[in-house]
Amino acid sequence: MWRYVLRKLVAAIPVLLGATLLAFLILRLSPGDPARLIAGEQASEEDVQVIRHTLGLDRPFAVQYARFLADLLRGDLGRSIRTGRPVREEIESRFPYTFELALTSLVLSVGVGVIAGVAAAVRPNTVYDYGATLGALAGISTPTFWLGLLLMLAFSYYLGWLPASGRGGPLWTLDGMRSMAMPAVALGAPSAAIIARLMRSSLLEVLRQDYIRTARAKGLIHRIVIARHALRNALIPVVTVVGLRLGGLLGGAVITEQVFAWPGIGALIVTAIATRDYPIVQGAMLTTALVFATVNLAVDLLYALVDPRIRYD
Amino acid sequence: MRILVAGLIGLSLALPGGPAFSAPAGQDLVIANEADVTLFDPIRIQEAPTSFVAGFVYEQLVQRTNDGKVAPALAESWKLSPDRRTWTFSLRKGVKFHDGSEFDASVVEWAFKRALDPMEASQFRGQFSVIQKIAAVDKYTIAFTLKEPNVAFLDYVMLTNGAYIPSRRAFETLGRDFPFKPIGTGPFRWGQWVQGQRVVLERNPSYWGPAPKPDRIVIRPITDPNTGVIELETGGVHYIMRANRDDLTRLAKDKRFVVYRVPTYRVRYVSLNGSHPPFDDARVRQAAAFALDVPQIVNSLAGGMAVPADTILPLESPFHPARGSYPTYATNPGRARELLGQAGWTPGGGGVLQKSGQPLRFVLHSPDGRYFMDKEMSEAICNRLHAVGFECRVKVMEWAAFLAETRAAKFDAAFAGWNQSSAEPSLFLDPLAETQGRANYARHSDPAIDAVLSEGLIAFSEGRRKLLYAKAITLVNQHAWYIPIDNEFKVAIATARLQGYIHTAARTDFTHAWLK
Repeated sequence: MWRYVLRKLVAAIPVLLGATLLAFLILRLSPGDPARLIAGEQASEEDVQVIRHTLGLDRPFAVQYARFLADLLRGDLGRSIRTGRPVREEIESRFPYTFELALTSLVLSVGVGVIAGVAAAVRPNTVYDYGATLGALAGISTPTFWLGLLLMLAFSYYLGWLPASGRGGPLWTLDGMRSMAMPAVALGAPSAAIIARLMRSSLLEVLRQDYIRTARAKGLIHRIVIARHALRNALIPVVTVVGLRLGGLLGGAVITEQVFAWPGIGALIVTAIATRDYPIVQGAMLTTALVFATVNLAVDLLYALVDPRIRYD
Repeated sequence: MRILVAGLIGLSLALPGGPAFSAPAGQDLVIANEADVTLFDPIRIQEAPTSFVAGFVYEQLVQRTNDGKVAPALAESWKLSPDRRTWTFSLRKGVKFHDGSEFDASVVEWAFKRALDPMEASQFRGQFSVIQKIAAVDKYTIAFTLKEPNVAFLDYVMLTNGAYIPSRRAFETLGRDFPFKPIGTGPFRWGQWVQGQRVVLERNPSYWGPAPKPDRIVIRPITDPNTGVIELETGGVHYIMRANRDDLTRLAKDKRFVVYRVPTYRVRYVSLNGSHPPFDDARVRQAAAFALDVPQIVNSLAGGMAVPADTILPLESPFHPARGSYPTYATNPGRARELLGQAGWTPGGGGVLQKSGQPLRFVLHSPDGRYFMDKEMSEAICNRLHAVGFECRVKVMEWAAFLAETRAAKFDAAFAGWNQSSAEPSLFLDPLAETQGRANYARHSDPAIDAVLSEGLIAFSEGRRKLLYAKAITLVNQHAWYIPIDNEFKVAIATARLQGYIHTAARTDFTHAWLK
């Protein structure tokens, strides 16, 4: 197993390097000059040139990238062009909020998705099934920002139960939970829908297998057949999707954070792209890629827990 | 699942907590800012959200009155030398920074020299380079000697973000934290900043001026205007700066809220690039101007948020000439066609005019979301121009890319705006119409305009200046370098409980505001 983990970790290095190279090139090849954006519309070309030189932006791409990689090896992500703060500090102060939001959404979407999927699969073509399918369709089709605004209208404006935006505090406090509720639901709805549909089809597939028929023939009651024999096997594709969804949720959080004024990395990335703050964008992309790679590794390892037949040698 | 939940609880425990998000009890005034603040080193402040917050903490030597005139602030008075090159300011005595250090001429000298230091790479260096020498005459007197007389010196230098005076002691002791813990002399001092969540400002009990009213001001970054409106309506904030048009109309009718709306110093226009076809011919530029029904476009897309303009100087400027005294382009599609005919453009296929086999085609560069309804306005403009035989395509771009292409003059036409903190005419006409103008991206040039604008900076008689700028506007409009579109309003919406707040084109002032 450890050899497997090591192999996966080594394989992740080119992925991460690729992510940094992409972030590095895409921004630099797109029009827009950070030095000009810092100097402002009114600054003279000479002043802009001074800023460009100070930031090292007048050096060739390859030199800039090599320097970035050399700094990275020392654990230094550089400094924000706009604020002069270390990129690591900027990301450390924001990313945990995004991760907290994405993880809460994931927990919610897994809970809702699995329950809805199971309910639909064990009673196919009933009101439960139609309800879950319709709910999943709505969850996938509704854009996050729109759902966010609808939730805000319902629970803040009309009912007055929840605060419209902002983070109220740690999740274990009442204010924290109240402020998290709507962003987590808005962000998690599409994932819940995907998981529900996948869970339904996967469980229906498993329920048609011979060993399920055997279990029923032994006289086991329906609930035991589902819980002990069918669910575990049906969960394998779901676990794969859950891992992938976390990456999607981290990316999707950018929009949710804007709608709910959530203090995560979203606003930082959006502003950094708009102001061509290269180091911030590179750092944020690297962090997200790192989390994504780690989660995927964790998912690979989880297979063994879900299905004991899977071994990593 | 158990792992996920456990991870979540662990993470949540590790994150810093904070007071509640919604309007706290008591007299805290909660304001929604357009975005989070960044850094408060005065010589590097550039975004509006940070500039807005900086105005609570820092002060300049002079300030603007509600009606836009210049009044004393940290300087009690000032005088201009007979050769009109040296401005000498007598500073207010007994003023302390929030860290207890004393405000005097040495701090002012240090602050301005820092802005001019090439090693600091400040964005204000170019603008401040009109200054030749800064010298503290005595402890409370400072003199600025300019390279040349400049009647607009106070607007050009003293009323910019770069002229905010921070504590020198803070600079020396805070080191790298200096830009993130602003210490000034203003009516409010820095309380707390939780990134992405809020800035808390506290009343400065030893403020030199009339005592500020609010004990605390909480400023929350809310980027989505829809969220801001819901927060305002549910009491989460007391004041917002943005709303879409429908919400603005709705809230204006609601007695619980007050909508503040004043024309401000921002002019929007279509810049026509005269360096290449088709707009290298003045008749084609004039035809484009005649083809547009600007009032109709503005009123239908930005009614209540802007007023139609017919010059590149805001209507609010006291130097704006009387209507009718300068050439304008009232909608006249017939005249537009006539001018295009005179320029040699003849009917071609698909309703598009042509000359020597070349269609009358151009691309209109437009930012998306930088200005109110910018993209929509560009589309309406293109649509109108098509009716007289232009083939126009809107190229919608994000701001950084837009700026890069327009600055490099890589455009045929561009929908753009120019914004200043005062109505001083040189702040608009010099950048946009002078040959070397900073915003003259299309490289327009007319020696007659350059001469008029140069004189405008050294003519100290208001009457003479009015004549000069009227002449400049006449010439610019004759060339039709720009098609003026509108002057945007400065908008804010607040709870009707907010009293004592000042909202004019020149000032946004909460110093004496309170909640009823």
